[in-house]
Amino acid sequence: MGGGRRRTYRRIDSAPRRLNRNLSVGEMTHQHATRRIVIKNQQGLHARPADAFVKLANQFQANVEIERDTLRVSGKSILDLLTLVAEQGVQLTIIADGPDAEAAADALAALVDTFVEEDEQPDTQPD
Amino acid sequence: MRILQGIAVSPGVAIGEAVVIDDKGYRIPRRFIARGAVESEMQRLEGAFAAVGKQIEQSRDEIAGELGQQYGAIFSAHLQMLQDAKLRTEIDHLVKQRHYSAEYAITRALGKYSKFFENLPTAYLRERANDVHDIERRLMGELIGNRREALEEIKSPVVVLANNLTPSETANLNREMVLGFVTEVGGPGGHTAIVAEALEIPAVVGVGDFLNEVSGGDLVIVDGDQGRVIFQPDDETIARYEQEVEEHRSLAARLDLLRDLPSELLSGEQIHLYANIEFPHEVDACLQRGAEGIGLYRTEFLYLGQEQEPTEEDHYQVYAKVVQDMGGAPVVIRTLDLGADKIARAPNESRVAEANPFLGLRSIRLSLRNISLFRTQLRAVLRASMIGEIHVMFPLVSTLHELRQAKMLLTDIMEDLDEEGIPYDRNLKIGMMVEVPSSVIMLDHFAKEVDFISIGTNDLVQYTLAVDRSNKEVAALYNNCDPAVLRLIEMTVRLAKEADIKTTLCGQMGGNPIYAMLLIGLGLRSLSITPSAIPEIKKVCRSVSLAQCEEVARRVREMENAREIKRYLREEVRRAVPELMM
Repeated sequence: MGGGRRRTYRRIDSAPRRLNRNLSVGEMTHQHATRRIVIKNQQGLHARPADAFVKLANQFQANVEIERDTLRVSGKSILDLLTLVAEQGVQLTIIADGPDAEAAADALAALVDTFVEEDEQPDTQPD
Repeated sequence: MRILQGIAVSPGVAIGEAVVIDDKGYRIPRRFIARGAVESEMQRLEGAFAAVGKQIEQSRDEIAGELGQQYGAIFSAHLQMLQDAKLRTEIDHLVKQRHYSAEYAITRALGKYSKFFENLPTAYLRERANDVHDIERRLMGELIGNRREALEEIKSPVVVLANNLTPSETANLNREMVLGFVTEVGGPGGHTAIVAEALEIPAVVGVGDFLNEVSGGDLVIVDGDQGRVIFQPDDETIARYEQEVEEHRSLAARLDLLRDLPSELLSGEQIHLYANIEFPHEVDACLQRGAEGIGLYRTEFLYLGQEQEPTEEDHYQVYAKVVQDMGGAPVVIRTLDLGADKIARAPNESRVAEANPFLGLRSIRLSLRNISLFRTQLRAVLRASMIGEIHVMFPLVSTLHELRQAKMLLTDIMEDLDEEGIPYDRNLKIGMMVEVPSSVIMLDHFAKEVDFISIGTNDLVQYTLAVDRSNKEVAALYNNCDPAVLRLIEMTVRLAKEADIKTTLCGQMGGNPIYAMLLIGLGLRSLSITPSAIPEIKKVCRSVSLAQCEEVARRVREMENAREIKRYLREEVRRAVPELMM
């Protein structure tokens, strides 16, 4: 996984955002990381997976944003994340900026990969 | 300043801060706060978020314990939404920078999200709006409480603005704190209106949509005399109304002096003034105003808002209390006068929605179709007749057959009571409401079978003119002094006199001073009116002679439209009793 590392993307947003606003550490420690992910679970990025995603994202110092096509929102806000309406099969880009951006992007991309099992469990074997 | 016109249903003027209750039952809070209140508003906000956080955690733990972790997880997501830093930053900003109230800031910030989710293409995605609503509901619950609390726990004097108030909500209003109320829907003669009048709270109903444009805390004037509602009045208007409130108060004080004086015309004829009541506690108001008795005791409140039908004992207890408290003065108990939709257990066939409820299964028709319910009430009336002077009255009688059926049932119950050895007044007087044109036309026959009649003008006007008084579109056609209505009243008085039975008039018309001279001139000597109107009507009686009243009636007979008649009557009473400020 993670084949799309350092892939360039064009910003189509008409009002581009500053990415590095929260950086107080020196340039030396600054990292920028992006990961392409695909939502695989049937119900999409609904409340429970979004909760897990935001919980994890908030453990990192790096600023985390998620992009779907032209729309980019904060990866640390569950309400924003839900407005992406990321259903099954939707491609998203994780964009992390900050001292631990690489670690954040890796961890989040890995988390999204686990959504398949987590989500389908209650359907097949309800307790 | 903004002025809206509605329908005046309970007189008087109220000036106060608004409490707004929307059509879903939430209280709409104030929108903006004073600059100096930012600090305390932020504390309210903090407190609400902390409390809701605890609530959600509790729900999560409970559900997880009962149904498993997977189910508790949804509350975990709710908690995440509540703690969403971006949301919180925005809400804080709205309060600190724009001086929004905590409630308004939350509604605005969360509203953006719920609106977005509501517009998504599939039902599954739209479900997300419910999560946002749930959080908003919890926060609002913390900040302002739910509807019941909103109405019952009002702690400072306010004016209540609502889409609608049910009769039981109206009845439960705290009279000390609720200065007045205004509703978007409703009409004159509706139950809410009658209850408001009984509580003596100024009220205007049927104003139309306005709740979206007001917010809690706004200053409002309710003019229950003119049916006007004034939002954010200017200083001049406030001053004018404050003076009016003061004048009302001093007039009321002067009218109080009339209590123990006889209710008679200058020429000496006695005019009997009875009171209409809805609740047992109103007996106090009747005695304070010097009512001769209760001319109309409406028993509907026993049925309204109840899960179950009232028992015979429920009926008996309240009837006994009213009769006892009236200390020997007569009490006319009217049997159930409601539509089928209003009672807990209506007969099955009446569950069908009626296209024309006012022409449908209601009142005596409903009672006769639901004999066990009717029997319960009549047994209680008969038992209570041993305590004091009780008369029983049947509403909405439109055919002789109905009257005979009702009387037959009463005889039947008397026989039962005899067998059971339960005492009752064997001379119990039986009367009927005259409120359907057919009963006026056939009154010579009806009069042979009843001891007294009471003219119910509210329904008589509605059925004569074919106007639904609660329909704003046609309410203007509803007119007490339409010449057709006046002819029916006069005919009723004449036929009852020929049959030598007593006639009372008990509609709202009787309590309005502008009609008093006319009604006396048409031959009425007995009026049953809302207790608060007794002093004014007595004042009119004591200021005019029978000749004057008969002259008014003679002039009115020649007039052909309601408008002209009303204008003339207003002028006459103004001339005869200038103090009433008509």
